[in-house]
Amino acid sequence: MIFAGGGFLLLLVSGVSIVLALGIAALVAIELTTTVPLSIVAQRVYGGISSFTLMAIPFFVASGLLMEAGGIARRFVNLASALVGWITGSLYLVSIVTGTGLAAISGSGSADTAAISAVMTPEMRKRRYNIDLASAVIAASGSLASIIPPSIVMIVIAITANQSIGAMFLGGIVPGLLVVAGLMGGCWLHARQDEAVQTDREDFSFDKLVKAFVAALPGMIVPIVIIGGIIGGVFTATEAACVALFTTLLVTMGIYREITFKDLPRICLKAISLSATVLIIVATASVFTWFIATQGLPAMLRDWLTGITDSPFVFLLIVNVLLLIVGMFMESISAVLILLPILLPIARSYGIDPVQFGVITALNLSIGLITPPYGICLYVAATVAGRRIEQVSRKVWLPLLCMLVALMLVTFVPAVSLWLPSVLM
Amino acid sequence: MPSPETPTTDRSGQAQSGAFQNLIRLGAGALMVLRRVVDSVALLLLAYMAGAILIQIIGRYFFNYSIAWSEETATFAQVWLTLLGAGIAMRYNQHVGVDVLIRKAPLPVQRVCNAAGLALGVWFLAVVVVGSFSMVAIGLIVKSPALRIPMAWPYMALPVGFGYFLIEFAVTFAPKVLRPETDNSEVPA
Repeated sequence: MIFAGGGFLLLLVSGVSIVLALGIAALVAIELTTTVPLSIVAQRVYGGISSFTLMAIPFFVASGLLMEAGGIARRFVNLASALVGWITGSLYLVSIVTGTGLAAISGSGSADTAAISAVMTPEMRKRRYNIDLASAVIAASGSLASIIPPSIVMIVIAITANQSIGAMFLGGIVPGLLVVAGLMGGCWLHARQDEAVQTDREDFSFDKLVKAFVAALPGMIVPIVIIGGIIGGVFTATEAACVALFTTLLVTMGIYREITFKDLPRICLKAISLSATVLIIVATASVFTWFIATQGLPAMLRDWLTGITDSPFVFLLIVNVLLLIVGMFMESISAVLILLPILLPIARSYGIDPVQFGVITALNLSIGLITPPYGICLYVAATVAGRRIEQVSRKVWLPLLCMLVALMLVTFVPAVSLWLPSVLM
Repeated sequence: MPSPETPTTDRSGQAQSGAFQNLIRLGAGALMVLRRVVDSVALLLLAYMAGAILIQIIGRYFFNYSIAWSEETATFAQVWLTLLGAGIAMRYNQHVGVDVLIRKAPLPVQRVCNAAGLALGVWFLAVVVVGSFSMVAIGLIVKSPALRIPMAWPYMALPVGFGYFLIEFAVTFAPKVLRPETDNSEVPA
């Protein structure tokens, strides 16, 4: 146990990638403390990735990358500025609304952040926005992708927690919109104090809105296909992802015509390597968690925690603090794969619904995407804006505060995450 | 962070003999061919997966005919795609880790960590490759549930995929260990 956990942390801080750190730590622990033949490692690795459900991930990643290369981000920005461009602090709000739209077609945040930042930052600079705060807000807008369906983190949570992907996806919608509302409210309040931003507004125009809506409409088919298909029981999540991929190909190559056959190999290879970094962690993490489980850690932790408190609220607060700290240092998928198998049985013994617990986990880890030192969305936003991560980090408190408020609501009001799945499924 | 990393094998010092340099050039050429092949196979696998699932949906809804082989073969393709893709991601240094701390450490510490990381990484990957041989051997006898093809087909992805991962891992990390100044811009080369 000490070998596995301590070894993993030691490898992680020495700069070994998570995928190898998990595998090496498990291998060292198996070698030193058990007599299990090492061929178990190969078997667990195969068992970890040989899953029909996981196949949704490469499809969602490919369709998200195609959408972003195919000009959808720009059309969503136009629609968002027609929708909220007339309000004080308009460019913050436009970023957040664009992030919401992109989150509904892509499964992970860093590409969304890059797409929003590339379009919005030059404009924000021109209109004298504080670029560090702007980048922090853009990072938060990008992080929405792991709460709003389709979300790759949610898929991994659903598989790990043995819940239906449809229920997890639906459970994320209301909390995701809460975060959106919180971010918009927070930015609006902040912008009202900021003289430079106050004068920055465009008049609302209904014609412009209709035009922007029509241009963005083909891009909105994808979320409808995904959510409608899964809720209606028409598709499994994997099939929905596959249909989303073909729909995206039709929209970007047939309607928008911004991608040609020549671009496909490059974009698909990027999708392959990006989704492989996720899936291969699933593979080595399954070796690691198998070892942890054989050592009885979940039961030990449960006995210890139930000794401290019998209140589910106190337990959830502890979990929130733990996940926020872990999210600061670790990437979401590995955090889910390592911690959820340990925490979920404990949550169950406190009577907490697995879907709610999964949404809490996803929300915590999406906050981890914007918290330094390891916040991938913050890093991407800072890089695209040409700022250092330390500079942007100083302004991250505003979106962070808004997201924490939403997190508290999701934690203490089960209906926020459970109402929609209970109505629709 | 994703940063395209080209192997720096061809810039290796001036004191080396011509024969050694030729060997390195040959290795670099072979690696390039290997990468081309891996990329093409990976693209075909993705296309196959998407096509097979689409056919499954069409079959179910339009012809009321459920196809058993599509799900099974697509899952096999996914295993291959993941393992080859992991090597491709290694080539572009896309595997995430926490490098904020180690990059602030003194150079000798970095060097030791990189060397230890390389050795342990090679050990882990080699154990998986060797351990998967017995799986492939079993897979020659065991048949898949739907299509009744030998499970050795998907199992073969383990030695091949992790073997390729091992090559890309060594190519990326060996220069860092041998010449740590190449990964730290503050130190004059």
